[in-house]
Amino acid sequence: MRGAAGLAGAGLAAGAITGAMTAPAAASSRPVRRSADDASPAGPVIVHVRDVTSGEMDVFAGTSHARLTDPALAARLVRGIS
Amino acid sequence: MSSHREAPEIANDPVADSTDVYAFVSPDQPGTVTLIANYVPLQEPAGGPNFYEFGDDVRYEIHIDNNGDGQPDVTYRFGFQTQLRNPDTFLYNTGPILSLDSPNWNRRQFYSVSKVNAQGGVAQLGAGLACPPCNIGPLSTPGYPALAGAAVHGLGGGGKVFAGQRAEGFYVDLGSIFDLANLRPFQQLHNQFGMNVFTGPAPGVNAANHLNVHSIALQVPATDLVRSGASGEADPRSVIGVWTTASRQRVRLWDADNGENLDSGPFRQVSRLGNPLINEVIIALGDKDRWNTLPPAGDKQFAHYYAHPELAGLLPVLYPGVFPNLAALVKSGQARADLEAILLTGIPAGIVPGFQNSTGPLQADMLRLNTAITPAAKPNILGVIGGDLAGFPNGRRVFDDVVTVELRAIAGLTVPLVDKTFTPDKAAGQVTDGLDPSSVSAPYLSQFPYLGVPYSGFDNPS
Repeated sequence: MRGAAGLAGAGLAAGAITGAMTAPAAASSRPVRRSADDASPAGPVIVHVRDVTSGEMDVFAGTSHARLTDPALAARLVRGIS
Repeated sequence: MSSHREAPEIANDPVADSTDVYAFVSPDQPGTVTLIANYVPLQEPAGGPNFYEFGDDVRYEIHIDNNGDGQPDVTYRFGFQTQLRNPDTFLYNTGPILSLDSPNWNRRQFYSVSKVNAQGGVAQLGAGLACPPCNIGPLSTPGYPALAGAAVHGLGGGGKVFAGQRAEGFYVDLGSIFDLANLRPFQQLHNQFGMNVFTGPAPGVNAANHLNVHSIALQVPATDLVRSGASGEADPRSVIGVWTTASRQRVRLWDADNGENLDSGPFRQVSRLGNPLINEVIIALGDKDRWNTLPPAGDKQFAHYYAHPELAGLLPVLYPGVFPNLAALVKSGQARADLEAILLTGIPAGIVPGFQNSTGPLQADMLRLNTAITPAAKPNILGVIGGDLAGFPNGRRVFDDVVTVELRAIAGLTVPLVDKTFTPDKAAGQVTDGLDPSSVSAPYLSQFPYLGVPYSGFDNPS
């Protein structure tokens, strides 16, 4: 099954949303969003299952990216949204 | 325009859209080089209540290659952060903004600037630097020039920086160029596809007039950019190649629960700009988006677009009988070595008397500046083809008429630089979209950041 495109399009960019906005620079202000200049791993961790059958996945966190192959994990993620 | 909305993908992402890049020896500070990178094109000045700003999620960079490999040896990196004072009002400002820390200014933007070396080492030059507000009008932003002037920050070591709204300084008759290259001063000579709409010439219309843009301007000692030991105009080490980029993180997720985008992953380039108008009118639609993602080092793959520009073939067709020598040149299939030199390698010594801005044989689209050439006392907006060696394509000043220069070069005016047997058509020395710096209503400044005071929303359109 080459389901990556369809799954990604359907939203299986499974986001484990962690962390929060950085502290405001001024007591009376708050940042509207995290700056690209401050892309720390405390931001979201996003998993893109590229191919469910082979278990090929891209994992994004902060400014890092890793490609993993774990068919069992990929299958569990798919079951999680089924 | 120079590079405004020039490719399908970036046209949908204005905060990351590089529109113009300028590089010149500062006329009032001759030991320094000024670099300006513009983004967020075609700003209608009254476009509130959410006025224009840089993208907090975009990495903006100005790159300098000083050894001819098409890779950055020096990079200035900018990151922005927007601060909201009061989420309970719809207003950008709740009263006059009289200073950069005015309590009446609700949505402010700050930035950091870092210098990255060729090995990737990062040194922060400044942080928490304030942008000026957009120019809203006489009640909201009175005394705008002084307000914006306060947003020029010293960086130490003789450097200064500014990031914020400016008047668009690029002038171009977009309406005529994209209406099948119907240049108004010559419209009666256009084939008009048989419709015979125009019987006489008309003046050009500056489609960018009364519009604003967001500029990142940097002024640094030339010695911070060139290879060590650079000395004099003839020294290849005096030449730098400049381009700008915008990058985004690889993944964007719409967090519908909180109504915001979340970004993650490594940064990847989504926009770049070196020489003006290249991705606009030289690179074909099928390659534009990819061109935007690549560094200049790989531009050999695009060299055929420079060697055989589509526009050179169109001019003789659209203007029958006006460009016969150009038509013959195109028909011959001869590669345009003049354009390849001007745009991809720089002009070597011995071609234009007393001038060189070559970075070596590698083909890479960069704005090349010989930093040892002093600013002209009386600049010519046509730069090198106008006898002014301090202007485009030796870098680019804010007032240079790059549209006319490139039109004439493509029309064949610069072929004799490499082929003395070629005689340019008379029209090649005359073709223009009919504009000059007087077509820009907001005057250029004589000092940093050189681009004019942005048009105010209250007064534009009038």
